[in-house]
Amino acid sequence: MSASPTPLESLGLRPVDGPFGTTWHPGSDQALRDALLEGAASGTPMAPLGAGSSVRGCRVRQAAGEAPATWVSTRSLIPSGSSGIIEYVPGDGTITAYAGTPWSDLRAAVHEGGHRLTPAIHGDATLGGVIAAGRSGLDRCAFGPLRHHVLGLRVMDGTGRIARSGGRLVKNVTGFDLHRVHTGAAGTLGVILEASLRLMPIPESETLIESEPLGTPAAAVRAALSVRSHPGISTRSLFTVGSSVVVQLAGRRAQVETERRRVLELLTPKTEIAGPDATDRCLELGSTAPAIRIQCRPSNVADIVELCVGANELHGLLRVEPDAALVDLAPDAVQHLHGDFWTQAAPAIREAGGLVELRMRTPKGASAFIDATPIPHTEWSARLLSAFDPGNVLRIPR
Amino acid sequence: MNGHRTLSATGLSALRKVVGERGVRSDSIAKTAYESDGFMLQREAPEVIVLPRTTEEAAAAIKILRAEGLVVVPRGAGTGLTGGARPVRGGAIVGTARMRDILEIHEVDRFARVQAGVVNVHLSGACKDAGLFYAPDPSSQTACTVGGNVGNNSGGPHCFKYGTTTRHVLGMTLVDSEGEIHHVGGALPDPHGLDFVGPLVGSEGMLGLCTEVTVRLLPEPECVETLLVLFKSLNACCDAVSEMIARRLEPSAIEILDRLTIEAVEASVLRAGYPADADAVMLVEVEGGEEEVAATSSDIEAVTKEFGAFETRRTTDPVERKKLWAGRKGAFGAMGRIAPDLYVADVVAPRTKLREIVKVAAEACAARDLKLSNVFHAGDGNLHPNISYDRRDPDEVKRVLEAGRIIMEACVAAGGSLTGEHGVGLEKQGEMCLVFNDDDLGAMHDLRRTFDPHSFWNPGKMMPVRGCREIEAAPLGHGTDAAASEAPQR
Repeated sequence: MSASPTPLESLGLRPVDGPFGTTWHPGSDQALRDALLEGAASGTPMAPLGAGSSVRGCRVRQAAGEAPATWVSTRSLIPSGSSGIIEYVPGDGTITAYAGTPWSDLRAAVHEGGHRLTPAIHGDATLGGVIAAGRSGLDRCAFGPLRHHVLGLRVMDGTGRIARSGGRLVKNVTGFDLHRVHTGAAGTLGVILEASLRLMPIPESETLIESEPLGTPAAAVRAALSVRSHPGISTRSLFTVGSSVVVQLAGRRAQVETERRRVLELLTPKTEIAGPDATDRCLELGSTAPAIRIQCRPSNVADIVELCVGANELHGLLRVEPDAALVDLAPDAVQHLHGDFWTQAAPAIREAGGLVELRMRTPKGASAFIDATPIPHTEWSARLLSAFDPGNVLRIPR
Repeated sequence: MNGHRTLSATGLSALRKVVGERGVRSDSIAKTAYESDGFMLQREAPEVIVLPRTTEEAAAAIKILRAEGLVVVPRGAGTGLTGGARPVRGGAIVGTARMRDILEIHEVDRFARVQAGVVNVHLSGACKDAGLFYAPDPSSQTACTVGGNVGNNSGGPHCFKYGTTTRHVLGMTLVDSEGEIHHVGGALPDPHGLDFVGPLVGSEGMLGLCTEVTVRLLPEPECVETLLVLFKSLNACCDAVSEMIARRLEPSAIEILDRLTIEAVEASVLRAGYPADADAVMLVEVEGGEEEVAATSSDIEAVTKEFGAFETRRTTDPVERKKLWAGRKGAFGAMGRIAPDLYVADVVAPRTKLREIVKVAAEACAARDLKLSNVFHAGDGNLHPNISYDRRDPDEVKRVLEAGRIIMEACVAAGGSLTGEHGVGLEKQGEMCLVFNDDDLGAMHDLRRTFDPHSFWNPGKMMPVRGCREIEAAPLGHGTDAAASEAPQR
């Protein structure tokens, strides 16, 4: 005699075991709606899941004592026989797809039409997951953060209501920009079902320069800032890894060559890669998910880096984007942090205007800094959550 | 409580104490000046106009107005074109005309913090010495304010490359309906967490009063070249733009002016040297490094020749460039030579369908004996079919509104939208249901209540009050009876 179906099975969701435990796959928007309503009624938290790449990146955390969330996949919402792409119009430079569509599939499709996606990321992330996680890429210094490229969304909130905002157009100010709130909200205000993105042209030429080490991470950051402030250099990506500077240039062929020469007046190259491989190498060097991210300003990023390093052996474990003023500490860096990092360096970083964000399970001694992570306008946040998820079902475990 | 509440003598006195004698106007001359914005077809005088100088004054004034039971319409320079900056019925206007200080320009961190009433063009002027500029450049930039641009998510020709205002706002100071001051966002280039700045930009003054804005500044490009490309056919000019987008050419602006616009500009003091024998003029700007600009400009010249351009003028000379742009920026003003009033439509179409929408606009106007001139931000698909008319002729007004509605419907049917940069305001409120359904609008109502649970800010704008299912096709501005249905709560 077979076991009686679980409530979600009886609603038509299919359980699939995976690295995050059981993930439930709704076959339609209606099944997803039923599941969310069932979750609200039974007090079972649910969390939308794309490919889980942000979970692996320690972005989503499980707090002790909290009921485990039921993962609900958005990948099964792609209609049978569909690639997931709803519309790609090369002449418009936009793409619209179901949220569960793999980013790599989107990337391949738009490449055919001469376009690129931003952020330029590899791996098995999904469109909805990238947007929910608010994953900007290394090219943010050229194109801006991800939220500038999300043109519109279709989202199911915790009440099962499906609402659209924005659209498929590169310019559109009709109605409130609700899609901006959902971008980076980690699915707490709704499950992203469909998204439209602005696309970037594939450049005629691109090149990547990795400098020889400059002695210290702070020296590398200062060198990177000199590249940033050069009026004749416009970088596609610019960051430091340890004490080396990485510069990616892209655009018209003659311009890239001119700017390459200007960069080489400022940096001694260790490696140079030209052509499409430049982007792949850039991602290899700069895409490690951080355990700790510090946000500051370009004007104080070098000082913040010095505070981070202090007496800690972090040389190869720091990645810094000077233009976005982001200081990332790799997961291995946490093991190298001395106890006084949290008692002395971190408060000094805060004093200098840096904001510390933890992106993995709480390191020992860091608990005070969970509160230091900015959660702005809690009254507005509470009202938003109450409006879009009154049953408190969309709870990402943290 | 509703929008008809009057201001008590005590309230008036309290406001004067907060913002000074010059900061409160309730005389008939001032009320007349504030009874409309650039959308002249509808007018409604406010009960009082309050002009604070600081965020603190604004917050104190809001507390008084709330206690008096008056709703508030935030207003910048009043250059908006949809009726968004005038009351629906009574209430107060809180303007930023006396908030004109640039508070901070940070060269290394590339941001500026300004009071909301700073005039757009003054900001770029102020940061020029630092080698920086503020990208959004609406045609009204010599008058419109940064705060007003935030309210409408304003654009401008160079938004083709740089994006509309929302991509340039890092943070703002907002006064809520309780008179509390909130600092949202800041100078961080890519903050994490819920993004409240995003929905506040373009919220048309319906979520709070923006008193200070922190904006991103960009480095001045190394080289700028302007191309004036002449066509014998407007259709060919539109097709050339679609092809430039398809070939992924990246100028910073692509503008089109049609023959009637050219004639109006050339007959005005803004004469830019546009030739009279062209049926359409394409104005393109290319920015970047010298080699990049040279290569891209040559490619653009080649594409436009393929589509029948009979002449191309290229210049990097700042004086000549300024003259060419003066014609475009002054195009709306020059239309005053054609008729006393101008209805500036603002619609968006997919960039592959420009020609289709231009045809619809031409037919809709021809069938109604209306004079149509076209100015587009063609690179973005943002069209401005402009209809010249005389508001003293009620029948002509009716025909103008009919044509406007047909153009909007055609854009939406083609996959476009109602507005690209002017906002919805009162003008397009009824047409929101062409784009959004009841659930979409319900979610927007929920967002609004998050920031403004009392419907205190700019009630009766943007959102149709009745459900979309109930709204039938109706003349513009008559789709709702908004103020009555959206009475603020205390």
